[in-house]
Amino acid sequence: MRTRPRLYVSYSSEMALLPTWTQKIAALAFLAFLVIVPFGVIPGLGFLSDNDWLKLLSRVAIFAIGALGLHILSGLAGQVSLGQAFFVGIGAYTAAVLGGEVGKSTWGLGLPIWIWLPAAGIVAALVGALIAPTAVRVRGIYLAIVTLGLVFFGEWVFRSTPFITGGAQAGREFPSLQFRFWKEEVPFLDFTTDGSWFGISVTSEAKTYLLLLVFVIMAVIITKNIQRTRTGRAFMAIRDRDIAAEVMGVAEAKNKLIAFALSSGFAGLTGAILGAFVGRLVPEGFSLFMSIQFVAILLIGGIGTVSGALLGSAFVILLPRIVQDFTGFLASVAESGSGFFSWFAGIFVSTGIDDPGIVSTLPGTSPGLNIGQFNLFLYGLLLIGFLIFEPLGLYGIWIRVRNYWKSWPFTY
Amino acid sequence: MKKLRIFVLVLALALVAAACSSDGDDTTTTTAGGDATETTVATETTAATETTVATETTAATETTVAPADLKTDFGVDVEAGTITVGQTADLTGPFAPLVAPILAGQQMYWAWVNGNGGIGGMEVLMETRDTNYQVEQHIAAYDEIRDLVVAISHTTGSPQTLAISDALEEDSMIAVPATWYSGWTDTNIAPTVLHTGNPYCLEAMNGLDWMVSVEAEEGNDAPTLAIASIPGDFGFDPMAGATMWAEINGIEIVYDGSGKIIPGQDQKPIADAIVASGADLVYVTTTPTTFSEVYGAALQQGFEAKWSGSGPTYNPAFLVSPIADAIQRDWYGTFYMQPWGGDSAGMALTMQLVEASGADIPANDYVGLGVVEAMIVHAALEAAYASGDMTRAGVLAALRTLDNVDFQGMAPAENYTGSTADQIQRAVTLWRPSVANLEAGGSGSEIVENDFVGPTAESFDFQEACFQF
Repeated sequence: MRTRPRLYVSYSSEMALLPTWTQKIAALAFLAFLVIVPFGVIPGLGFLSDNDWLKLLSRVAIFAIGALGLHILSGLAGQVSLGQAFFVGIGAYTAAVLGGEVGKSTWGLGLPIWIWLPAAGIVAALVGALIAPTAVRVRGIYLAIVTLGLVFFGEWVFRSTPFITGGAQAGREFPSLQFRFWKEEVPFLDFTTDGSWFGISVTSEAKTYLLLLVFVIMAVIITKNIQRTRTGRAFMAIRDRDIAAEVMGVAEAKNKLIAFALSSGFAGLTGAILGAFVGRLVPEGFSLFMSIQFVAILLIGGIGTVSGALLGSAFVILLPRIVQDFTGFLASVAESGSGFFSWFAGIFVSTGIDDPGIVSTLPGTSPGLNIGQFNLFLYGLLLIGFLIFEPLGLYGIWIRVRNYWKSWPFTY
Repeated sequence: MKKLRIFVLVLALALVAAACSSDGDDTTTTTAGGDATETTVATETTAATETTVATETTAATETTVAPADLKTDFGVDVEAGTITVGQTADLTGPFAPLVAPILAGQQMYWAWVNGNGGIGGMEVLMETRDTNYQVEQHIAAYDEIRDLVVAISHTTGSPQTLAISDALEEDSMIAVPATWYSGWTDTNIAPTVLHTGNPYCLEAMNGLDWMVSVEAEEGNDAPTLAIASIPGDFGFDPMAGATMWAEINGIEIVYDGSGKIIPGQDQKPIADAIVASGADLVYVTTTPTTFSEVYGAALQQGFEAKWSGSGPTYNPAFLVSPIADAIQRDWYGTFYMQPWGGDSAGMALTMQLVEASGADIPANDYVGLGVVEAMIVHAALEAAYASGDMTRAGVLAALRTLDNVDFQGMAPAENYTGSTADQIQRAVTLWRPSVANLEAGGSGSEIVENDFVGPTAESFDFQEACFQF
């Protein structure tokens, strides 16, 4: 029996988080890999333990939490939302007011993290629940427009409340990732300074990364569990056909409200963590672009799956850096070597004033797009490409690759 | 789901379109300025060897190998013979059209420095990251390069630079901001962020001093003033200057739109308010795009006044747009240094660099600014090299000994020692937009006066930042 992965002999085994041994081992190995990343012991991937890469990976983790929230709403319950940035903002400013210090013109209560972090999620969820009744009355593209309006409304509110947000183009400081019992001077757990854990020295970046990793794992488990409950099945029933779901006794309005609240709660947590991670945010940051980034994460990763949300976050956040490094690599190849590769790289990169190329390493003087422009271009192109050619996203590509090898060599 | 896909597809297409168009603005500016002053550049540059930067360059060329006992930490690799300086630059956001020529100026300047023996025989390399004029992305960009560089030779934007100022201080990293917030001169704010040129606050005083004198010549002794700006330090600093100027000179502010210009929103109400106020003088600080919206809407209603604003508010591309004639009549420009083609050894060097680079660089006032920024870092690096300590802290310490960083006349010399009041730069260059200048191959900025200090700016007691959150 054990050798037939698709054969489940009991309901509980079918519903298990990781139903097969292969999956269990793979998940454990991947987890172990993620945990040892900051220690730079992985051959060939030692660079990941550099501070700048750890910060990027932490950012992936932060966005993954928000993306998982959107996955609950859009992927499971089928409700399109462009309002994620608004709820991220609500969470961020809840955290800032509760956990932040009093500024010259900003409010702050200086409460410890165990209050501001959950509160950020709860307040955002409540706001989500408040808005949900309006949102459940419309569907599809209309819901997208309603939530779009929310983003613009939010931006205006954030800009007009300088005592909370610090004001437009100025922003405010956020509480840092330090654990205190109450308002004592010295935190008992500090993620903002270097230190040593169990005799191993860890940088603040490594600590932050590991903390965020724990947060993401918790978010994944919660999401996976929601999927397996009655509520999760109700979400999917509504997604697949709302009228049919209602006929079967699924309370549409109630479940949509729950989906909205859960999704907003995740977004709120993302905002609080993002604020603490970055240190300073301006109200303009919670714009439509951020919402699109979340939608893009789902679409590129593969909508409707947890793995898709995680893959998408990694892809969207790491893409600019990979493009940057790859362009730098091509530039060095084009400059140093000769032969086909160098010629090919030369076509792509422009390294000098009279060297034509698509991407320029010398913004301002040489022809071609600069890296930032090229990244924006690539980002849009990828979104379009995935929508047209691979609607299941990276996850879909993975499934096809897997199926190809499963049936190899009889691939037809 | 299908509808969502179509919707996002449209959004994505819009993003791509935005990416493609973002460098469109700067291509509208004029033709190449190859025919720059025919002056014998070589002699002029040699003549300038009295100045700090040039002298040190000449001195450096004599040394070809870096001493083995040179102290270094980040961004200086004695073995490889390289020094890396970083730039956190807006390559895709609202100021991208102004930042591209700044970076071009820096590239040409460093190439020239490298060609003349570098710094102690070491070559200077640039490490640039895009910030999209977003605070969050700016912080991420700095994080990415902070361990790779010895100094930041360009950082775009006041709120953005302020957001990384703590990290800069922690790293003892000097940074040259392409922003003229008066706080950079204030020794209590961001001690490693360096001031260049006349800060926004005093720039507003200088500009208004100038405009009011022109008004007086025209027979109007009691002009009224309207002010409007974008929020944040960038907008509030000059507004503070303009407000103090009005108080000192007893001029009535008939409309105060400080912080009311929000990019991406309808600017007509602000334009309407300015028109309704009937002001003789208007001082505006915002992005070039939003300025053209405010100005255009006021113009449509037949409003005529003298307009001025902080340097980055103006885009030379206005002179090839439908508002060209009006802006030529109305705009009283101030800038932190000589515009393109100014008469000085430094500008001659810049022109020489542009010509030597062979790049198709349109005549643009910001190319010279890139050279000025690089010159400051160059002076600091030379001084640090001379002291034998090229760690970031060493560079900072060396910079703080420089009381006369000279730009060969293209910008007023800077002092990085002493108190806030000692360091303040009061001089600004006055210029007017000129289509004739543009057609003659210039940048469209006709210099009226170099090193201008108005009576209010002259006597203003500057002890701290004019505006602070």
